[in-house]
Parts: sequence; structure tokens; C-alpha cells
Amino acid sequence: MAANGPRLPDAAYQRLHRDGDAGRWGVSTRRFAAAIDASLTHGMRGAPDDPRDASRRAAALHLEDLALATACIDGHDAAWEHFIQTHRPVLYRAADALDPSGGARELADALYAELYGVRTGQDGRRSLLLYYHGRSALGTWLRAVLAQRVIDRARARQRLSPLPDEPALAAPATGVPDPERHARAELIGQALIAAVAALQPADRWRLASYYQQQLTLAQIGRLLGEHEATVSRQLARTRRALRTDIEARLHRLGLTDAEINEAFDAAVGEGSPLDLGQVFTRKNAATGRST
Amino acid sequence: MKAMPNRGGDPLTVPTDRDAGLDRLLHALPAEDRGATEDCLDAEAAAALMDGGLAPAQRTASMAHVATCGHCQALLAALGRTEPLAVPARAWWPVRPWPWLVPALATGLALTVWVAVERSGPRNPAVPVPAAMTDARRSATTADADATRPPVDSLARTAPGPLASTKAVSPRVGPPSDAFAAEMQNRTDIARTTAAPQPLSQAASDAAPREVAGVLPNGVRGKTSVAEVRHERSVVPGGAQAAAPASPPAANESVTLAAPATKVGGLAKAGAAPVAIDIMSSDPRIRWRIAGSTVEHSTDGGATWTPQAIGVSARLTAGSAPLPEVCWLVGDSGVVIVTADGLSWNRLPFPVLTPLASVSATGADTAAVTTADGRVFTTIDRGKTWRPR
Repeated sequence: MAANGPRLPDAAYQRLHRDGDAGRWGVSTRRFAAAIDASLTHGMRGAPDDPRDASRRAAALHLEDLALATACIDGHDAAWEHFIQTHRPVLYRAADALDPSGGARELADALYAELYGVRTGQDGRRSLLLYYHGRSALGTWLRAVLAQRVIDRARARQRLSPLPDEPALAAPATGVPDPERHARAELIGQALIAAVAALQPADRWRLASYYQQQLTLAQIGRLLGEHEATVSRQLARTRRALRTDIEARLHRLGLTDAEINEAFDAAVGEGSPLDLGQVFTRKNAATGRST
Repeated sequence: MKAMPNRGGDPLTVPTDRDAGLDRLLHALPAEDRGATEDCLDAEAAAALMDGGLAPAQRTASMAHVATCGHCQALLAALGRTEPLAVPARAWWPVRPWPWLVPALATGLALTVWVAVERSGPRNPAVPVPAAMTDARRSATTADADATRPPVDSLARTAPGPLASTKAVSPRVGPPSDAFAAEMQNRTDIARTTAAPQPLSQAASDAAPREVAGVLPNGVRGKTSVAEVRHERSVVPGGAQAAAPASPPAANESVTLAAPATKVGGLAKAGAAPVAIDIMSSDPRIRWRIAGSTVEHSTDGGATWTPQAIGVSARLTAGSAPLPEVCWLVGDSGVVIVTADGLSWNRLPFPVLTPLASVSATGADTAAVTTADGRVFTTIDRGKTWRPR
């Protein structure tokens, strides 16, 4: 079936139209079929054209949300009003969660203009909702768009004026340098980074979410679709595995248990010379691209 | 590096040191942020990943990318922080048909408890009780029977900032000092106890055996993981009984039931007895508690308490004790104090002079402090530098 033509039989579109209650917003079956096709085209990029797979994916779309978004794009007043009433509180709560000082609310408000549609020369309005494809709930998509905007703004500000209190990841030692201690600490840093790079993607993401992004167990669980207790258990397991891997790497380098203890001591003790950021940078430079 | 203290026959002193060291290193590990690339997830894909809308192959590829991309991790973390909270669980008991029943039962229960307490006499006669606290105890038995008392917060954790934590130790796990386990508890735990009608010592000692602790699958015992649910307003009948969750604790949850006539997580009314907050370390025998600007320390599970000089007069609001000898306390006006030996306290500089709501510490040097207005600052060098999150 051609990528630009209909992907599903007419009966399937009619069923999906009914399931999504698209008629409530005056969205015709044909219009909804076009929206579904656009979603499938977007979601199946690079995948073989399989009608059965397309049918399964279409049924898995958030059809009611897709119908609402389609109606909003088309300028249906009742749909837009419903959208505002339903999703404005969600967006504001998300904005407050991202920036309790209220800064993200400006971005949330600014989003509405784009969601309603910016006038273009030939096409009339072009709504941001065109980028919603029904693969997630409309609320999740809105929160993701807002999160992206907040992050982009923060990065832009960082580029313009670096924060004075950017991370002091490891305060460099101020006393007389001890080459041996420095070397031991460096070994730990290298082993840690290598061990983390060797983790499975899910384990690595979980670890980063916990340590770098400082998410709660519940938040990580929601991100990965796991129960909070599972996140806790998996983090503990990953950490044990990391430690074992680090120790094995150091043993392979010929370090004894006592020397490994000294290396840990050098890496995390008072006045540690270890700067993990620098170790990281050096490793990336050596490999061309980090793992 | 400081040796980890032995806790109840745990022979693994060195590995525990390594675990604590590894934990600190992981905290200091920078995120791999190389900026956005063409492989990065856009908002639509991130939302689809979160809602399970990606095909298996796409999900696998996305996760492989996210695992190594700080840019996408930041986006997904931000998305995770905006997750709507769960709908508060409803109380299973029918409150509305008999609005008089709750205060009546509370009054009866309070009287029963008062009689029982008075008959049993002072439980820790050797422990000096501050006069103010004794007064509070005498007045509170009647005061707490007051059915007009405002509802009590059960202090669900408001993500992302952690609140004061308490810890219990599971006999199933290895070293209870495990800093990682302690931090995970910090991120799931909340237990604040207000001791109005009893002296602090007595309230705490009563509270201990009433702890109903769940065990996480990894063996870490958790507490009050009412987290994220925010069904904070459990009405405690007249304050005579501890707040109970509307539903039984899940496997990874536990609830600290406070002493009779105590409140859980309540905010002190003006003129009422100060809020007492218990801060348990990973060693259940070692704990601190704060009330107003007073700090007390116990090394016997709360049987006896010793006041400690902290050098600040601000009201303290929360604490976290990741290790038996390490405790962080925060309070009004940006007050952050820490003890690394369990005895002497040092005030740390903090970037903003604002009331602080909570602290989550993982060691003597590493902590995250949440201000009352929701900002989070982290330090990994015992307050020498703070990084806003």
C-alpha cells in the first residue's frame, strides 16, 4: 500500500471514527482517516508497510484525543473550548512543577497561541497540534512540549550567562599534589565510567534518572513503566553490579584489595583529586564519542 | 575516608565503605549531555515513550539512545516531574452520615489513653523533661480531644523535593549503613511526629513499637511511602489517634503510627506545643528529634534523650540522618546544620535566606535541600557549594 494512500480499509476507519467519538466534534470519517494515516506514517517511519501492523497501531492510538486535536486544528469552536477547559489546568500544573516560581507559566500561556495556530501566508492557520499524532495522551504530549520549551529556555540562558554556581563536581585538591593518590583516584574514575557504559540501557537510564536527574523512585517508575519497588530493587542490583565490575576492572589492573580500598579512599576522601568531569571528557576525547 | 561504624555485628566494614564511596561517585558523575542530536527524542516521541505508544523496536532504540543522552534524560526527567498526581484515596469509612461519631470516639479514646498513661506513671523518670514540654503534655490531653482541631497532614512527599525522613532497618538486608539504601529510603520516606500531649521522650518511645514497617523487595525497609499520592489530609479524630492511611500500606510502604494523642505531620498551631519531628538514622538505636529550635539525640532507640546545643535559634523544620553519626537539619531563614560525629553541630552557609522545607542527605557531604517555595539545592561538599536543581 502506498505510503501516501489510505493505509486501512474503509470499515476500519469507520470503526476508529466511532471509537474516537470524532463525530462529537464534527470531524468527518474522511478527515479522521487522514489524521490517522498521518499518525501511522509518522509512527512507522522506516518500518515495513504491514497492513496488519498498521491496523494494530491505529487501534492503539489515543483516538479520542486525536479526534479532539483534529477538530481544534480545523477550528472547531466547541472542541477548542473543551480543549482549553480540559488541558489548561494540566498545563499549568505541569508548569508549576517545572518552575515553582511561575516562570514556566509564561511558556504555557505562550503555547496556546501556537496550539490555536499561527497564521501563515498560504495555508491559513498552522496549529502546533499538527505535531500530535495520538501515540500518547494529549495531556502527556502537552507536558512534553512544555518540558521541552522549559529546557530549551534554560539552556539558552545558560549559554548566554553561565551560572556562577555550576556544579562543583569534585573540588580539586588544594594541598600538595600526591601523584600516587591522584593516579589511584583516576583509576576509580575510569573504572566507574567504563562500568556505567557497560550497563544495559534500562539500567543506565534508571541510574541516571536517580543520580543525575534526581528523580524520585516513583517518578522513575512512571518513566520506565515499573513499580516503585521494582525501581528500588533494580537500582540496588545495578549498584551491586557496578561495584563488582569496578572491583574486577581494578583487579585486572593488578590492584590488591588493600590498594582498591586506598583507591576508593583517594577518590572520595577529603580533598579528593578526582574530577569525574575531566575523566569523562578525556574518555570522550579518546574514543571520539562516548559510549 | 572515614570508616563506617559497625552496626550490630555487620562484618562488612570495608565493602560498606566502598558502597558509600560508590554512592558518592555516582552522585558526582556528570550527565552525558552532548546537546541535541538528530537521534534525540522530540516531545512527541518522548510522550509516546512515556505512554507506551512506541512499537517495541522503536522503544528499544529510544531507550538505548536515552541511556546515553543527557539531553533526552533531562527532557524525560522534566516530563516525569510534571506527572499528575494520583487521585487521593478515599476513606473507607462512611464519615458523612455520622459527623458526630469521630469527635465522640476521639474524646473517648483520648480519655482512655489519658487514664492509661496516668496509671502507668512516668516511663522514663530519669529523663529530664523540659518544663514547656511537660506543660504541653498536661494541657494537651484535653486540647487534643478538641474535635475542632484542624485536619492533620500525613505529609505525603511532594516531588521532587524530599521531606524529613526516618529510617528503619530490615533484618533481611546487609549493612544497614548502606548509604544507597538510606537515600532510597529518603526518597520514599516521610514520617513526622508531633508530640503534643506527652513529653518528647515518652512520645518517641511509645511511637517506636508502633511502627508498621514494610519491606522493599530489595530488603530495604521503607516507611510512609504515601509518597506522590498526596492524600495528605487524613483527619485524626481529635488527635487522639495517629493518622492512618486510607488504605493499607503496600508492600513497599509503611506507616509510622505515633504515640497516643500525637499528630502525624501536623503543623503546630500558634501557641501550641512545638512540632516534634523524629529523624531516625540507619541504626534504629540512633535518632534525633527536633521541636522548634530544640534538638535531642537518642542512642537507645528513643528510650532516653539528650539535648544538644546547635548554635542556632531558628525553627527547625526537617532532618535527615543517612548514617548513625551524620544528621542534617534544616529550618527557617536558610538554616542548615549538620553533625558528622553525632554530637557537635555546624551551621552551613546556604544561598538563600528562606524557610527550608526538607532535606535528603546521603552522607556527611551530600544532601539535597528543598525550600518552602519548592526550589531544590544540592551540595556534595558539605555546603561549601550549592547547586540549584
